[in-house]
Amino acid sequence: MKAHIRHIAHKRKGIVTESEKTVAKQSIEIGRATDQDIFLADSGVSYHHARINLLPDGTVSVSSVSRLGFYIEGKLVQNCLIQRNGEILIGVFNIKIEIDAKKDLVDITVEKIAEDIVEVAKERMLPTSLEQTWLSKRSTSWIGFILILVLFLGFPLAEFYDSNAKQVIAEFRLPGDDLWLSGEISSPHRHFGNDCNQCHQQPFVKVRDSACIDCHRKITVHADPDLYDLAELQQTRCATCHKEHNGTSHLIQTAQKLCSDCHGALLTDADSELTRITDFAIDHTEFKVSLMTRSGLSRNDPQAWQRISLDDPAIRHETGLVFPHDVHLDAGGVEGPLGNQVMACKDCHRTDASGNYMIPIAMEPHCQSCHRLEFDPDDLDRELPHSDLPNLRKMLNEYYSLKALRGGITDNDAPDLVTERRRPGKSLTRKEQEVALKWALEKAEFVAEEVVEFRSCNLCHKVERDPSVAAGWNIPEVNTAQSRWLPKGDFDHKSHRNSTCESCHEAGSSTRSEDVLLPKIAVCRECHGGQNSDRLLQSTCIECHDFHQQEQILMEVSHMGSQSNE
Amino acid sequence: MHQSVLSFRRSRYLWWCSTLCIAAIVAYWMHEPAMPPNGSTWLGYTLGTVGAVLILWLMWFGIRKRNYRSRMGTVHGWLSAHIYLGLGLITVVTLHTGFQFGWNLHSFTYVLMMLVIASGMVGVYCYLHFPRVMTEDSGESTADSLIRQIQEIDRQALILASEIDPETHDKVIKSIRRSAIGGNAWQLLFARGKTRRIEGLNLAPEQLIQDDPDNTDLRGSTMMFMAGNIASGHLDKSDATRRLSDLLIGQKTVLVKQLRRNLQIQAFMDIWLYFHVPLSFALLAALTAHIISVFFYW
Repeated sequence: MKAHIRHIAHKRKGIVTESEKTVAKQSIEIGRATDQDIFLADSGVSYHHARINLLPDGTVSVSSVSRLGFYIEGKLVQNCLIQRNGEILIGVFNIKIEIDAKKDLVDITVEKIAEDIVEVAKERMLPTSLEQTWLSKRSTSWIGFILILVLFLGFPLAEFYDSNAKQVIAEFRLPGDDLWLSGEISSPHRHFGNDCNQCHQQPFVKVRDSACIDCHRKITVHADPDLYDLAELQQTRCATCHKEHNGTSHLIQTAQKLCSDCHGALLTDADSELTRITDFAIDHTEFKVSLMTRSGLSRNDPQAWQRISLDDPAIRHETGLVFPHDVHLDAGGVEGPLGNQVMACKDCHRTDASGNYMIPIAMEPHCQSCHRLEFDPDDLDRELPHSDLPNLRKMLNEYYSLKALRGGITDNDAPDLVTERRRPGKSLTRKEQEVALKWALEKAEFVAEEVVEFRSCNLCHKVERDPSVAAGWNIPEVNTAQSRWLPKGDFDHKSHRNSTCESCHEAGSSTRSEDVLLPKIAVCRECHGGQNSDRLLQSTCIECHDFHQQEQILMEVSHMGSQSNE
Repeated sequence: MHQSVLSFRRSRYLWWCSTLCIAAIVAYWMHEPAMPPNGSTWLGYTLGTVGAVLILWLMWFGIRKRNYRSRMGTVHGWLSAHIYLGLGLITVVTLHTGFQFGWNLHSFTYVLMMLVIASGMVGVYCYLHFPRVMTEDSGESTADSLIRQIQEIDRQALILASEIDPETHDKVIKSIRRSAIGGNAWQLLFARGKTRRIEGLNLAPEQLIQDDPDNTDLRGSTMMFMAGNIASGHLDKSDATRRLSDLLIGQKTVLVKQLRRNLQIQAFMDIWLYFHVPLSFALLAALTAHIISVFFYW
């Protein structure tokens, strides 16, 4: 078919333009695609919208290619036949079709419906997308952005920098830097916890040790800074280990890492005398016991102490006593002043008021109730004072002199003068007095020797006769004044009070007083496992050891100097 | 060929996201800090930095998609990465928190981020679901073409009406004026409009009059006027009247309904963004405050 296509366009200001072309094709294509014969630039038109065909009988068929269809005489249709002429409407285009049967030609006039109808319609149109409504992404974004910055940044900063703002915020209970609280404050710090600046004193600077030491004045360092000049010790801040804002239970670190990070690496340092320790259950040396030596030095003098491993076969505690535990703990009992008595540990070993440590053993409170220092069968209530050997003879002499002068002594070997009872008011002659006092001196000498060497002192002490000393005997110094045996550890009896003594101390089979009856680490390991133990009590280093060593210098002295310029 | 934004380049960014999440989880699992896990351990700082950089990058998408000249990958690829890496944030940032939450700025920031991600997930659903619905519904008709068709019906109705009589013409003009298209956000979202009175009634006009002759709402409407004219049969130009009634009641009603649904679907496709974008900027503000605050009170 041949078609003559005319495009009429109404431009602005009433200008009308026309363009014409003649096409000879089987069918004329109409659509929005640019390859179409009738190109309709309108979004209401499909790319391939409709097709015009000249039929053999001289009529024209218009068929819709797209689902949209077209209008003819006001009806929306998919197909139509045009006998001689007709008008169809596609989108905003009016297409007039006239058939010139003689010339076998179809005249097609395409005219865009006057824009103004569409424009008028547009004017009264309401928004058709959310973008055209009052909804706005931009303004809500700005409002939210600014509100949040003001509330969460502006208020707290104002509170920090401006005292007036701080006052207003406090007065009206407005949100301030409490909005920044990153986690629960530990209970001991909560009483000042609402004032962030107690600790956070300078912006963008990590919490300084001075803030901690302000209150914790007596806190000591971990190790002697002169001996261990290590960056890990000197430059580590308090807050590196003591992390606030994690609740109460985590303020003090208990993890093994805290110690093993350094003490596990010590083996690599050839100069270090410290042993490598990483885990109580599998990597911990045998306990070293601190024993006070019998050097005569003061107990405050470090030289007076010796640290020795429980593994060392030569370990002995020189108590200076003869004391077999097995005899005392005999299940059959021991003979005492009140007859046969079965003894228990607690008869001698008592804890101090704290319940943690044992009171050191001494003669008067612990032994003397059985080991009485009586010397005169006629006067069993009378006892000798303990620990006064130099005055022993003098005291006995005084005792027996008085008795001899009074007379009436029941002693077959004594002279009659001493044994006979005297009437009151009868006095001895000078000669008689000399006889009586001579006897008393001999008796005192005899009793002293008997008490010291055969009856009382020798029972517990290693007595040596030594005429060169004033007392006449040497008794070794007794060394039982110790209450802490593992001062580097934090063992206490109180938390173990539900266990029997025998479960840790093998006292019943100990025959010598030199035996050290402290349990070895293996005994502790029966109950205590390492950090990750799944069947024993999980125990980390901090369970027994303190980080801050009390005998060390104050952190205030050591630590703050190195950080003041940080 | 069209490729879903989710399966872009064989789901390349799904793998990126999975790798990131698995790495974060493994690191968290192996990490044994000396305190409860939180944002201030080395892993906490690392995860926080990754999270913050991701958030900034994800927000950069808003700029990238407007920059048509950019040669940094296609917008399609960026969107795919935006979706997957945005989802990856859930893992990274949740681990950054160490599961410590409270009534503070830090948890507020986290909640905002989760809301942004949730709105984004709604967006992904809309992005995948509604275009299909719209195609099934309207075929190739865009809202614009439907509007033009309606306007064309109005135009023809006016031509027809002027052929009948001035009263009818006046009625039709009023009807056109009254049948506004579109509306406020609420009306768009719920497919409600001012022309409700003449739509949705598929019954023949004659029947409507018989059913409810006293309905004043109906009585004033164009449709009732037309129906009355047809029923009375007094008018000479009954053919024109029928055609007019067919145009306004039959075709226009269908088109308006179709348009409303089209606009509704479009509104569904857009509405999530009105949450996603402002929440994102709120998040940016909160994130800024969060980062400044933790280092201000270090």
